[in-house]
Amino acid sequence: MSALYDVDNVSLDLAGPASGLQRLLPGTAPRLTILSNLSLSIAPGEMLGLVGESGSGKSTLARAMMGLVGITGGRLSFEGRPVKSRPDFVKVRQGTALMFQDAVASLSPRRKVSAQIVEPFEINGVSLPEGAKTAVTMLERVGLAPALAQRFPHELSGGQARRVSVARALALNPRLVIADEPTAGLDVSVQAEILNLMSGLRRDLGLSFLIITHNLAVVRHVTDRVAVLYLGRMAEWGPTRQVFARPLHPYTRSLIAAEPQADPRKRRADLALKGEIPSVLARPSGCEFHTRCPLARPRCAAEEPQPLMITPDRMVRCHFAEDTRTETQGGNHGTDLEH
Amino acid sequence: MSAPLIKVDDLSITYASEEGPLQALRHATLEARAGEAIGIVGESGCGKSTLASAMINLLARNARVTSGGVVFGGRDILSASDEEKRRLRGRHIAMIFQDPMTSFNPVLTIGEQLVDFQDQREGLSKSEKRQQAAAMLKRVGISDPVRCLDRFVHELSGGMRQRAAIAAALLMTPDVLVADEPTTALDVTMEAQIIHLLRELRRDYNGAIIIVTHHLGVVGELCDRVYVMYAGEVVEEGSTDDVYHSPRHPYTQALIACDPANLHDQTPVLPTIPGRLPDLVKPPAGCSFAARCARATEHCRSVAPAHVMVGPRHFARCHEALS
Amino acid sequence: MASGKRNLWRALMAEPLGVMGGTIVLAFVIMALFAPWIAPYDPLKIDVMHKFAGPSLAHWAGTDQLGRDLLSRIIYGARTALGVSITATGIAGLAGILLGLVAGYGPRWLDSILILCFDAVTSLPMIMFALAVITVLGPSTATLILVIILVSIPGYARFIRAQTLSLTRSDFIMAEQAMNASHARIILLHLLPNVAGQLLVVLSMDIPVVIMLEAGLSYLSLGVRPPTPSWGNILYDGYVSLRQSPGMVIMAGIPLVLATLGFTFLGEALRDALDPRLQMRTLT
Repeated sequence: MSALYDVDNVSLDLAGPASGLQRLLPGTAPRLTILSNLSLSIAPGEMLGLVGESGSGKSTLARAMMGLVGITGGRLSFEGRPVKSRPDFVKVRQGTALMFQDAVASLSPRRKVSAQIVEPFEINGVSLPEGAKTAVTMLERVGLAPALAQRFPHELSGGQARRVSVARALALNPRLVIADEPTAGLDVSVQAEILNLMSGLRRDLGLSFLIITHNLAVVRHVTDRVAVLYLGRMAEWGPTRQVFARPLHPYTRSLIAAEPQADPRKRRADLALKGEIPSVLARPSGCEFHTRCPLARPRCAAEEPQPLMITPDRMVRCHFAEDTRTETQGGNHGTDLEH
Repeated sequence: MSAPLIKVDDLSITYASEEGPLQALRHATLEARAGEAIGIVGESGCGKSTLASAMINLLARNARVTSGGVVFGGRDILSASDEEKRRLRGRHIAMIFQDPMTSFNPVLTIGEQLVDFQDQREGLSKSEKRQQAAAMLKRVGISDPVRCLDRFVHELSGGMRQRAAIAAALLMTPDVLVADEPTTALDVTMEAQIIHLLRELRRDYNGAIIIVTHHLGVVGELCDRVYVMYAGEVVEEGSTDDVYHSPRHPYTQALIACDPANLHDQTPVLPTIPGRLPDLVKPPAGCSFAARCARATEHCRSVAPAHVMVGPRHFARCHEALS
Repeated sequence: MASGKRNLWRALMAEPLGVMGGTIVLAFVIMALFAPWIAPYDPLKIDVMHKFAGPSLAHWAGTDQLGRDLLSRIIYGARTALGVSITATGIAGLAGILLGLVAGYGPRWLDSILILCFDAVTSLPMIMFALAVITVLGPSTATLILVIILVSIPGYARFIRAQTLSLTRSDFIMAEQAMNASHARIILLHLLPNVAGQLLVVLSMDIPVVIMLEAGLSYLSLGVRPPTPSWGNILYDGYVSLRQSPGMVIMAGIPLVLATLGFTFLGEALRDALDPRLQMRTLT
């Protein structure tokens, strides 16, 4: 199976805060690692989830894939062709749409919906498929009333703005849609509507989706595969069902355990994950998760874990993944942290 | 059973709008007892924020109370004088906001503000108040409280800010603590930590906690009783266990069904609630959920349902609740 | 919920200050445009027989040291004041928008160069700079306009640059980039409409400053050359003949004060009307 979008060993670092003298001498300023040796591939027609806390680098990866921030190492390729220069990204952007977390803020505040929704055609020199009626047709496709075309972004509700951005994302018939927190800030029933809309498009048009979120419930229900990111590094990836049933990285397990249960009978007394994600300014040595990891041992602070392929479609980066795997085998659901 | 600490009694509030008065809250009744944590859940436009602002007496300027009131300490606080309202807010009823940035002044340090929040405590010197503030920060799980006192709000992470906001609210030793979407702006791990913190605080806090949220999970984790709101009305109330496990109002049932957290298997199509909120300028004559309800009859569309008791301290505003 | 299109004009007229400012400004504009029809006399016509006349039915505002009708000179002075200030702020505003957008959105090195230029101009004391330019080019209305343009551009450009910088990092600009939008498209369709409104406020607040500057430089004989009527020249004449006719200074001061108030009120009302935070808020 050839990948639609392939992210191979990508790293991204930025100039860190420099002192006076370092500022004057190029190359001496400290570098901050934002993304490190990330590999990820999205197959045609696949829905891939990318999860992690804020500060894990999820949105940065999405922006790097669109060429909005430059990568400093590794390779990107789209539809089998390497993506390096600006013209390559022009092609990527014609075949990939990016939906932002804040749908209202991703629309130009002083232009009407009707003008913005047809922008992809204008920008890429494609004539409007249905002329003046295009905007209305596009709105109807995502279940919005034609009257909304005359509104300004601040006059839309959260759910409506999200639908407008879906409509705009679909304009050029992309092969891939990258959706950054597509359900953030929406009411539960509206969340479900947006997810259904995306699943329907995938089914009808064979679109691939990369869904970036910290909401595990969303990932669990709509994605085929899930990748877990922590502080710019991949912690684990694999088929969604397997990862949720038997998470191998302690971070994944903590995330799953942190989900609030909408059932008072399932309340948990213990706290799954203490503390906060460290700053990229103070990246922990060895395994970056060891400062918060319930399983951490001295080795974790000293030695960086290498990616371990458990099966061809399951990766984990943890020194003790093998132990965890043998322990949790045999009917354990793996959502508790008791050992 | 102890008497309620705060009671919302048949409260109706309208907002002036261009189209006419918008009935944001209609005949809402709610009570919270000492030591109890109650949850108010509902989707945008259901009136939960209006209800919360009424309880802390911070109604918008275009709001008008058209019936009922909020009773605290034996009297209606909505008709209190401005001076009394301020005192109530400072000393008896505190609020935690969704965006903790709004609770702090950006140009003062956290410490300066936490000291100021204790101004109702007489007989404490400034350094004692500062110590109290540090102790409270430690209490809410800030590991280096003394350093935190000298920081500005923008220097704290989202989770730290919300902890500091909770500390600020608790320093006023309020009888009632209202938290409006306290975890919505946070990550899943921070959310879990704040829920954990609030739950821990409940153990030695004697007042009432009122959590306003659209997130069923937060209420499920934290609250003893829950009020489900729809289109300005309380449509169901009861113990969290009753409401979550045997919901009697069709809206509550739909809301629980479409929460992705409640589905344990992958489904190609997630359940939704078809239709939309009624126009609150001209609310329907009958049940406000009738237009979206699969079981609605002609009777539902013409006659507004009463609060029906469906179990011990479990009520639903539905004609069909008992059938 | 939110009403349809927001109407700037209606929002402006809802503010009492806006109505007041608008009326005053409109009155001055009419005065300037139709001066030959409104003014009772030729502002240059000398009538030494009636010099230093006090206000009368024939001369409502009196006459000056040469017997010229003061009211007519003030009306024609509005032409000079508005002509100079609107031309100068208009050109400076346009140049400021252009340079500010380029500095804020363009490459870093270009930004640094432009900032350096702005700093160089702003670091010169304004009066010294004005004197230097006027000494070289000679005092005239055109020189005056040029000086005002040169000293105003850096302020406007910095203002636009700051706005552009924060907008460039916003989601909707990144969304445009992700759709392959060209730089020209981003600047013209998305940045310009979002910065222009705010600049309009600044410009309208600056017009009275420029009117004062014109009056000041003319008073110092560095601006508009006599006998062309300008409020500054009238003020100067009045000051010279303060002993004979104290009313002249007051008569020349009144339009300056009114114009300042008018444009400032209009600017404040414009700012309130354009501020999205003061627009309709959603309920609940």
